[in-house]
Amino acid sequence: MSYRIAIAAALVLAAVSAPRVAAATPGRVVSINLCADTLLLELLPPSHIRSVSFLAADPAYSTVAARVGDIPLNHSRVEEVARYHPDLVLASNLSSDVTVTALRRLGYRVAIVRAPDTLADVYAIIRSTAALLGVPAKGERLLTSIRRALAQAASPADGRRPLAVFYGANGYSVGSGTLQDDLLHAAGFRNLAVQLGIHGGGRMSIERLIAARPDVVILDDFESHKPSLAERRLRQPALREGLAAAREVKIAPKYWMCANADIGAAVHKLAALR
Amino acid sequence: MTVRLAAWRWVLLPAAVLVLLVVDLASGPVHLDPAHAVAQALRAHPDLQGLILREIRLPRALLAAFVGAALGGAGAAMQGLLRNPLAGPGLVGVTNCAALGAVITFYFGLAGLGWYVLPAGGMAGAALSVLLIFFLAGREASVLGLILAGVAINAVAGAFIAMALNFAPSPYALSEIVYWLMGSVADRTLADVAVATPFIVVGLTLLLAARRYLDALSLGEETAATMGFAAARERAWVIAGVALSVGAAVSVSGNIAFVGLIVPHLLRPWVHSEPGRLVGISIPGGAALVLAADIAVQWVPAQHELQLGVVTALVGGPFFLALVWRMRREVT
Repeated sequence: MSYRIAIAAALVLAAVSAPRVAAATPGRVVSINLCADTLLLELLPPSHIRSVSFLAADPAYSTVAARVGDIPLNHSRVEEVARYHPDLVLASNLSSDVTVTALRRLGYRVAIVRAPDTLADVYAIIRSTAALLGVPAKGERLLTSIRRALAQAASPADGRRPLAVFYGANGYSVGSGTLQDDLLHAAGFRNLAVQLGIHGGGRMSIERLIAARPDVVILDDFESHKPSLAERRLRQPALREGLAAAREVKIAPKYWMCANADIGAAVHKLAALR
Repeated sequence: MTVRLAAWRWVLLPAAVLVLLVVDLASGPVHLDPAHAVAQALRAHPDLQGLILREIRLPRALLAAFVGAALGGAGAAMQGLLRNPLAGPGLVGVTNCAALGAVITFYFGLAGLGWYVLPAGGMAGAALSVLLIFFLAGREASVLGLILAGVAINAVAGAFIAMALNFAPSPYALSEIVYWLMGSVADRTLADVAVATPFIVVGLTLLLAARRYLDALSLGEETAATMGFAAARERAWVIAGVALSVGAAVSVSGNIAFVGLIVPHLLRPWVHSEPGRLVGISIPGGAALVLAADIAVQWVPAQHELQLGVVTALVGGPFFLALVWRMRREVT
């Protein structure tokens, strides 16, 4: 973890200390990953963006779908990217290695916008990407707004820290070492998944969940109209009755998937539940 | 001694099923006080312990028992009908075809039309595959012919399951392929029990009704005919029974592998290889095996609970290998 932060910091230093000319804003950026899409749309005007991934235009996944407008969409394929003759391609550490390698071999400049694992990651990713795009001041403004949202959230009047849990399709919960855990703490909650020893993401049985009597349950509000076993499981009568005393809220996971302005909104939404 | 044992085996297995049912109800991450939990579970508005017992553990244990019974009974009946000890519903593709039927009705919104649609999909798939096996391999199926037909049907059904889930409008489709191919009874509801069990009970009743025909059939088809059995009708009963029980079971639990193969094999010596009685004893036998496997997955400490079908496959795979090893002279 810390070495990744160190690398991110080194990238930032390199970008900051580079001569002004190198930091010039690229004019034909193509992004092939949702997290890169959303940050790109926040940092650069549409005139600099040639294409974003199709998920960026889907309001189920993207909070900036309205900003996509008539920017062409891609499905993260090498040929689609080549069509736009980009001067910068944004991909993710979760993008296919084959795609990224192929793009680099074809001579394109590919930058990785990582999916954040912690709050510190979020800051580092926003800062380095803003520098890469030649708009460091805009990145700092974004960071300031996130910090402000965190500062507002982190002042529990009575010092009480209610017990909260993320509970998604398939009984999936999120424990220590994750961005969501950082956000829960920032918003003044204890995380049930951490108490049950879940590191990263993991399954939590309905039995354990209702036996722990959490105060707040945050359910995925995710494509709930499409049939799947995963969603069906959330309709267990035991879940409904066992959590009758808890506050149940649905927040779409799109708010805490990526390093962008949504992080501030996410903490704000969480703090409002306390 | 053997006579006494012969009488006892009909009590022994059902008793084992009851014990395992209770152990399965008592297994789980939360400690329950038995008397308190049972008293609470009978109330209209139970407390936490009653709720866990009634709405989480009871459907799970009941489904493990019924699904196991269906797979065990259907396996024994198929082995009798095809006169072939390798004719388990999994190996010859019946369970995968049932899963395919369930997948199609489930992911394309048809299952919302009524409670009966999901098991109907499973049963239609199972029926289709039994008919296919029958026509592909023939009634006097050689081991090789049967296995080849099974490989083909399994491959096609597996491909269609993967394709159906590819097109399914579900964000979880990929992870759920695993569930349909490697079953589970975790986190089911009493509604699932109510949907599946009537069909399983009717299907197993049909199979039991055909037990005398299966006994006669072991002496050869002509002998069975001279004994007054109408072959076409009896066969249709067995096929319908397998389709109903396996189709309904798979539509709520996915494909719990190898149960229909192992159980009749282990129990065959108990009934002196009489196919009709084998069906009868494989019903509690299957229930006991799946319950035991479900208890095992809950006792294995792991952050991600082991899938039930993985456990039965881990036991069944080597078992199948040993079986093939013993039969290798017949196969080649």
